[in-house]
Amino acid sequence: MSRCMQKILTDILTGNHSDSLSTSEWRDVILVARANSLLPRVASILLRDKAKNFHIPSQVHAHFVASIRHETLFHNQVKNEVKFVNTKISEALNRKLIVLKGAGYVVADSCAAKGRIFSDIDLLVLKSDIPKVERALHLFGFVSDTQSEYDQKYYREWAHEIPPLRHFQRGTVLDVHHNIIPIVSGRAPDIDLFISSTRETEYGVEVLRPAAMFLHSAIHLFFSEEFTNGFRDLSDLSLLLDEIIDDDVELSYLFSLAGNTGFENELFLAFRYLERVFDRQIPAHIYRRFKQPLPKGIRLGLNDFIFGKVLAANHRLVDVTFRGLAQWLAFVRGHLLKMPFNILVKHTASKLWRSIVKSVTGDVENRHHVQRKDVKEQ
Amino acid sequence: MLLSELADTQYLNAVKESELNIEFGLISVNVSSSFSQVTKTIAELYRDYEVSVHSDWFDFNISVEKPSNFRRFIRSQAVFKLDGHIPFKPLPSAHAYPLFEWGMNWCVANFYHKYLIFHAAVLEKNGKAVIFPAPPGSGKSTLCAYLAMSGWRLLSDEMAVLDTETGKVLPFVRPICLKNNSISLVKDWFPEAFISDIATDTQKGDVAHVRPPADSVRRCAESADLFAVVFPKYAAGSTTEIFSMTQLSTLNMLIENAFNFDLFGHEGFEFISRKLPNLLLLEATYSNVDELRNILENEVQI
Repeated sequence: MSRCMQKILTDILTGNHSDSLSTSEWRDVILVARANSLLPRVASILLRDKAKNFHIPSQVHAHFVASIRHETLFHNQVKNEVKFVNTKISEALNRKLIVLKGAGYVVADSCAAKGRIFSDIDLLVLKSDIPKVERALHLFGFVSDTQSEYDQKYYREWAHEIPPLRHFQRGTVLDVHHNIIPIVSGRAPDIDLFISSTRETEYGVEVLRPAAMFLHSAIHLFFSEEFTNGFRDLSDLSLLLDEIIDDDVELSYLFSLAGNTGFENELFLAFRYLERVFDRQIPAHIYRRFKQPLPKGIRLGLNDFIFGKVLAANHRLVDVTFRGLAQWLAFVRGHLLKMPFNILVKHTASKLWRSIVKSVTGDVENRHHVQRKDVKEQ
Repeated sequence: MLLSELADTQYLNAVKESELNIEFGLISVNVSSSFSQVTKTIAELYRDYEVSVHSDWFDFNISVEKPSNFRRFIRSQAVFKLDGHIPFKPLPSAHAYPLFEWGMNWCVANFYHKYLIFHAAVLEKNGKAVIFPAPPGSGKSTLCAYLAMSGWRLLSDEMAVLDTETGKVLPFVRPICLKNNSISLVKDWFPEAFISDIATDTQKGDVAHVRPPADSVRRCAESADLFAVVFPKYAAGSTTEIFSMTQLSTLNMLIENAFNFDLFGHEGFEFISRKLPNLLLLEATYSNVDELRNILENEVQI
C-alpha cells in the first residue's frame, strides 16, 4: 500500500491516472496530498479534467470542492495584492517589477499555478532600486517582521533579499529579492541574465519566460536545505516542463541560460529526479544538450540517495527507508551550498544560541500557526 | 452500531488503535486519544452516536495526545493532532477534552468548505429551523441547551451548515459547550442531563459539555428548511423584547459570523440574498429563556 500511494499521486499529478480507486485509497490520497500541500492541485486536475470521466465518490468530492474554493480565493487575493503592490512601487522602479515563483505562476497563468498555494509573494527588483522600493512599501503598510539585529545584518550582508515585509493589516508577506540565490554562496549569477529573460503579463508586471521559470524553480529546489514540500516542488517542475518540452526555442534557451549562469548541475538534477521520483519520461536528446560532463560515480550516488528520499511524498503512508538520514544530509548539503564553511559556523552558532535562549525563557511570541480563522469564541 | 452498544474493551481498543469513527451524518471523524479522561468523556457524550470500527473512510482523523518532547515531564500538556500534524500549540492536560472538541471545530471550519458555514446555533421545531448567530457572551449556548432540552431538535450548537444547492440547513450535532455560570444554570434546569467534568480556567473560562438529546443525534442526517434568523442578546434583568431586523443588517451580521463566506465569492452572496427575503429576521433581548422560548414557539407554529 505504501509505495503505491506515491505512485497513485504521481499518476494523478502527471495526468496518467486511469484506474478507479477504492474508498480507502481515496481517503489516503486526500491525507497524503494535504500533508504535501498538493490537495488543491490534485482536486483541480481531477475535477477540471472532464475527459477522463473518473468516478469520484461524493465524500471525496466534498474535500476537492473545498480545496478548490480555497485555491480560487487565494489566487484572486494574490492577483489583487500584486496589482496593489505594483501600483505603489512602479514609480520607484527603473524597470518593470518581476514576480517570481508561486505568485509568478499565478499571474503568468502558468500550468504550475494549478492548485498552487504559498505563503509569500516573491519579487525581483534591481539592487539599486531596493532602498526606494523599501521606502515605498513601508509607506503603504508593509513592515519588517524581524527586529533582531543579527537577522537584519544577515539579510543585508549575505542574502539575496531584504528581510520579509508583512502588511500590517492583511498579513501578506513580500520577499523582495535582488538576486535568486544568496550572494554569500559565491554562486549568485549575473542577475541581468535572468532579468532579460522575462515576459509581460496582463497585470502590468513581468514574470520569467517559461525556460527561465523552469530553471529558477530547479535552482531554488536544489539549493534548499529543507524539503517539507519537496514533492510539491517536483510537481511544479513537472508542470513547468510541460510548457517547454515541445518548444525547441525555449528548450535551447533553457540550456544556454543554465550554461551562462552556471546552473547546469541543478538543471541536470531536476531532469534526473523528475524521471526517477516523478515517473516523467525525459527524452534522451535532453541529456545530450548538456555541455558539462554529467555527474556520475559517488557524487551521483550520494545525490540519488538524498533526493530519491527527500523528494518523495512526505507522509507516514509513504514508507521511505532512511528518510531521516537523507533529510539530515540534505540539510547539511543545502547549508554548505549557501554559505562558505567559516560563515556557516558563525551563523549556526548564532542560531543555536538564540534557540537555547528561547527554550530557556520560553517562546515569548507565542504565535499560533493557524491557516484560517481560529475557531471563534462562543 | 451505536457507541453505547460497543463493549468497554472493544471501545477502548478501537479508540486506542485509531480505529473508531464517529458518524455525524455531515462527516465521519476518526478519533483517538492517549488521555483516559478524553476517552471516558467521549464514551459518555457520544453514547448515542453511530460509530464504525475498521471503516474504509473518514473525513478527518484527529487525536489528543501527550506531547513527545521533554516538556511532558515538567508540566503535563495535551496536543491536538490532525492526521499526526499539530496545527496549534498545546494546552494544559486538564483542558484535553475541550481541546478535542475545539480541534474538531477547527477542522471543519478550516477544511470543510463544501457548505457555507456560519458561527451559530441551529434548532428546529415543526420542520422550521431557526439559526442563532451570535458573538460570545450573548447567551447563545445557554439558549441552545435550553431549547434542545425542551422539545426542539438540536442541529448544532456551533455551526450553521448551509447547502447552497438545496438551500437547506444540515445538522452537525455535537455536545453543547457551556461556559461559566451557564453550567450550573443548565444543571439546575435539567438535573437529568449528562454534563462532562468542568475544565477550569481555559481561554474561554470554565467550560463543560452537555450530551446532546438522543433524538437529535438519531436524526443527524435529516436536513431542515430554514425559517428564521434570530440574534439573541442576553441582558441580565431585562424584559423580553423582539425587534425585527432589516435584510441588510442581517446580512452584515451573518458575514461577521461566517467561517467561510469569503471562499464562496458571488455564490455565497447571491445565495444569502435570495434566501433572506423569505426568512423571519429578528433580534431578541431577553433575560428569561422560557419567555423567549414561548415567543419562538408561537412563531414556528404550523
